[in-house]
This record gives sequence, C-alpha cells and structure tokens, in this order.
Amino acid sequence: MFIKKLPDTIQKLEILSRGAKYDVSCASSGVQRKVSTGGIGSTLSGGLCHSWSSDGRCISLLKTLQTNYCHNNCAYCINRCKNSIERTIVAPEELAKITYEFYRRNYIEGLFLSSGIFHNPDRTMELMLDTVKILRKKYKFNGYIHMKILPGADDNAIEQAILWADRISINVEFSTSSSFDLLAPQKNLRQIINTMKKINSIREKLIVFSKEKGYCARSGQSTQMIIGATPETDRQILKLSEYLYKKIQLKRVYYSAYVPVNQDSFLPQFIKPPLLREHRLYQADWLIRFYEFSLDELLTENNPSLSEDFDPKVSWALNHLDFFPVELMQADLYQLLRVPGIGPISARRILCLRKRGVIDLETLKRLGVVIKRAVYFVTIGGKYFGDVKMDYSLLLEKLSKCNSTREIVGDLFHRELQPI
Amino acid sequence: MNYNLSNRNQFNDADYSLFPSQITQEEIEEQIQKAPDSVKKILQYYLLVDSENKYEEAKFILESFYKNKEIPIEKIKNPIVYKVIKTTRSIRRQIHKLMGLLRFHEVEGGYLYAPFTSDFDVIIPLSLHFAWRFPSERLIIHDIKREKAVFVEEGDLFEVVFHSMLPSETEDETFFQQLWKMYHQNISIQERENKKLQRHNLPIKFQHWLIEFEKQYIQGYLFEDEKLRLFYSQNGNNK
Repeated sequence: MFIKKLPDTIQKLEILSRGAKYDVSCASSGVQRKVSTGGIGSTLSGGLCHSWSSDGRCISLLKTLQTNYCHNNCAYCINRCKNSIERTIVAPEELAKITYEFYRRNYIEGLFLSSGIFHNPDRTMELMLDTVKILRKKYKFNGYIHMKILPGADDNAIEQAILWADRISINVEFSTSSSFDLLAPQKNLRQIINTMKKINSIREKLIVFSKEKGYCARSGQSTQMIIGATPETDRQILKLSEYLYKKIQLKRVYYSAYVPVNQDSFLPQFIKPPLLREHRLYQADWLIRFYEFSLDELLTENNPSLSEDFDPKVSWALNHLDFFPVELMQADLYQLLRVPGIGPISARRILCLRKRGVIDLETLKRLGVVIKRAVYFVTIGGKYFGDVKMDYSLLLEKLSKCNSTREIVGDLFHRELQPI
Repeated sequence: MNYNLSNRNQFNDADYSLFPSQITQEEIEEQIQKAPDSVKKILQYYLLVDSENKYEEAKFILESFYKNKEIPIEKIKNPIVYKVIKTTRSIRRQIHKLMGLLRFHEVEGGYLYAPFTSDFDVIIPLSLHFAWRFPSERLIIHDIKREKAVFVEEGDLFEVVFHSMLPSETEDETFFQQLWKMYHQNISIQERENKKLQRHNLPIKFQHWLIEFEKQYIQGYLFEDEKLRLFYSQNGNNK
C-alpha cells in the first residue's frame, strides 16, 4: 500500500512559495490607512520593504499560492499540470495564521495571494477569499492584501475580492494573441483584457458606493508581462502597457524577464534571463507615465527595440539634438522633463527656485539633478557648461561612460552569468 | 520677553533677532512643532542627529524662515541649510528602513522584543510607528548602541530600565523564525542571483539584527559592543 506523509506547514509553504516567486509584484504602496479599532495593522502610502532576497528583489509581502495544483498547461509556468512536481494545498485558516504571525513579528507588510486552478476557477477563488476574509474578520487584519484574480472567475468572486483586498491583479502575460495560442492555449488575450475592464468598472462602482469605507482595492489594479519568451518587440509590449495605463487606469504593469523553468521545444533555452531588456522596459514605462513621453516618440515601427547601451531618455535626446540645449531659467516643465538627468522632482524644484535668482551647477547638484548627464543638454543664463560640443558622436562617447550605478550592478550580474 | 510667533507679521528684518540668544532647547523644539509644514519637514527629525550644534542650526533655519519668509529649499546654497536638509533626508530614510527591518521576538509572558542599532537616535519615531500599528501588543524596542529601550502598551510609550535578563523565547517563536528563514531563502530566484544588489539595498550594518541573515545572533540584551565590532570586522566594512 502506498502511504504518503502529509506535508507539514513548513513544507507546504516551501512548495507554495516556490511556485509563487515568479510573480514580480511585491508593492505594498498606494494606500494609507490607520489601524482599525481592536485590530492590527496599517498601511503606508509609500509602501515598506521588509527584507531583500539574494536576487536583490525586495520582500514586502508574503508571496504564496493557495494551491499549486493547476488544470492549465501554460508552457512558461512551473506549476503547469504536465510538470511532475510536489503538489499541495494550504487551508485558509492555516495561511491566515501564518500571515498574522509573520505580520506581528514585522517580517512582512501583508499578503500576496495567488493560486493555481484547482478543479475550477470559482472553487479556487472561494478558497482564496476564505483566507482573506479570515484575516480581515477573525484577526482584524488591517495590513496590505494583494489578490490575484484567476482567469475565468465569475463576477461575484471578482466583486468579493475587490471588496476585501487592497490591490487586485490579473496577469496579461503576452501582448499578442499568437503567443497565447502557442504557449497558453487555455487562456485568451481578449478575455483577460475584458476581465481587467470589468475589474476596473466594478472597483469604481464600489468606491463610489462605499463612501470611504471598506478596502475596495483602493490601491488599484496591476498586471504582469513576460519578456523574452516570445518574439514580441519592445514596441508591441509597451503599446499594450500604454493602452492599459490610459484606457483601464492600471496602477502598474510589471515586466518579468523570462526564466526558463520548463524544457520545451517552442521556448527559448537561453541561460540568462534578459535582465537589461527588462530594465530598459521599466525605464521606458516610467517615461510614459511620469515624463509626458508618448510611445511613438520612443519607438517607431521601423525601430521597435530599445537601445541596450543607453537608457531610453538619453537615446531620445541623442536623436533629437535640435531640441537642446534647454535654457534652465526659461524652460517650462515639459522641456525640463526632457533633459537627461532631470526628473519630475528636481524639475519642480528648479521651477520653484529660479524665481529667487540664478541657479548654478552646484545648486543643481544639491537639488538632485544628475549633473554628469544634464550638463550636455542645458544652458544656464545662456551659458553652456559641457566639456565637449553638442555633437552627436562626441556626446555618444561621453555619455556611454556615465551609466547609472543600477546599470553597473546589472552589468556585473550579466558578466557573472556567462555560460560555463 | 514673550514672543508670539503666530503674530509674526509684526517683525521686520534686521531690527532684532527673532529669538533671544538664550532661548532654551525645549523652546526650539516647541517652535519646530508649531512651524508650517515646509519648515517642519526639514527640522522635525533633525534633532535626532548626534551633533553638538544641532540646536544652533535649527534656530538658524527657523530665524531665516520667519525673517525672510524663505522656505529652506530656496536657501540650499547656504552650507548650513544644505547640511540640515541632507542630514534630515538620511534620518528620514533610516527611520523608514528600520520600520521594515525591526524584527520582533515573542518572549514568554506575551511580550514582543525587538533589538536594533542605528546611526541616529530614532527610537521614539520608530516606537510611535509600532504603537500605531500594533495597538493590542506589548512591545519592547531596544536601541542597543545607545542603551535605550521603550515599552509600548496600548499605544503609550514608557521608558524601560532592565533589571533582569529577558525571558526566553517561546516555542512558537522558534517555529515561525524557522518558517521565515525558509521562506526568505526560497523566494529568491537563483537564475537572477545578485548579491551585490542585495547588499546595495540592505547594507551589512542593517543585516545584523535580521533573523534571516544573522549567524551570530545573541539572545537577550546582554550584547556587548565588542561583539558588534567583531561582527562588522568579520563581515566586511559597514561604511
């Protein structure tokens, strides 16, 4: 007779968190809330990181699955039904207890709850909702909860999830339907985007209806795309992001460099995940959201990939030298934001400060401007401070020497991961 | 002479100094609490720094604000203002970081105990954060380097003097520490390993009190500075 010992709590969490770690989102930001009476927990609008794992990513939420049983067979996923891995399911009460005990020891900021699909989406969503409700009601937990919506969940489950969580997400994974047909035949791009639209409208309705009470996913909706598993271009990926930000009011789109977890003939078998590409996509994403860039300015049909050597803002500046130099004493916010080395905060500081007198380089530095980049693109009171002329080839050489530290960290990482 | 700052329009510059030269430290602290947000943001945490003339510098900022109606960022060319703004930024950053990095240990008797060390004297703002967050818990927050400790109960803060060893950790505590350590290791993606980035975000000086990192955790408050120094020297420089 075959007897299998049931896994204990530690083994369960080990299996389930291993299945959840490829989800990127770990933000605990977007909502500021005080503790409830008799309860435990608060949230900060800026979020809070509690630790960093050895891949350098921050840990702020307990990221886990309800179960790693799954009836889907997505080629890129470690939990697909075809894989013979250890499977388990955690009881809602047990998971709620772990979250609560971690939270009061200040290990985490809240819970990130995702799941494989066990039997059917509705049954699994029910289990996930039980966990969240036990936390919220029994433990009076007022910390952060991020809940995943499973593709195919019904309206009632979506509404319940929004009602009890701070952030809701459903992963869009790829930006073209052909990738879905190839890698995740049980999912469908149109259906996922429709679900996102539905989440958005239910959420807005609930917020108006609830009048400052309840959780109502006030921190918004986010999603995630896999980078490098399919031949989509950066332009196609960012096109979808732009659409999601503008039309469905998404808070964040995450990009996840594909890590080869399965051996399949139609998946790339490279050794290192495309981390630099992921980084460049985030930079472009930031430019679209906070710097008033449009996608068409950054990438065109003929040139659909971001440069690996320069960040997208510097590349744009090098290709539009006629826009520069920007005169700091007269430029408006839009012009200031185009200058490499000046960000939204330092641009506003410059606007505030220049009313009081002339700005010099030292002051700019103190305001948080990255001088080594900005100096080639600005004049202050008509004077240019760069050590070379504003000429494409000269600037190319100068700017390739001053990448930011984060990129240097990334570069080193790439070198270490060369195939042996 | 009694200066009423709410009526500050009556002052015009250069006639006399706004504050009498013998203004006490408490009065400066009081003025900071009363100041408008733009000034409060700069000075609120500045007094937590270990510096001899911090009160002088705070007074200078208050004066220049009330006299010339300048918000501090406008005077960033001034070395004192720049120094204060820079220091305050790093204090705020450290408070924020420690809010996430304190680790509470459940000890017998239902207390949660968290030891930490920091560059600034941030125990009060830290304790306030946890008093708001865990109103129903009994917390002991202990600044090892400054030998200060705060007891938090039902949202109130009390100063602590240790008379005995702390009680031992509970059984649950051992279990959840083990669970957390496992989780911390398990959540990392090996293909993306980047220890340098981890160190960049979480410098070694912060790692000491984290149960998921520490190898040489010494239970209780009897932690000698010598051992701390040794820990730093073994694990590379913390500067």
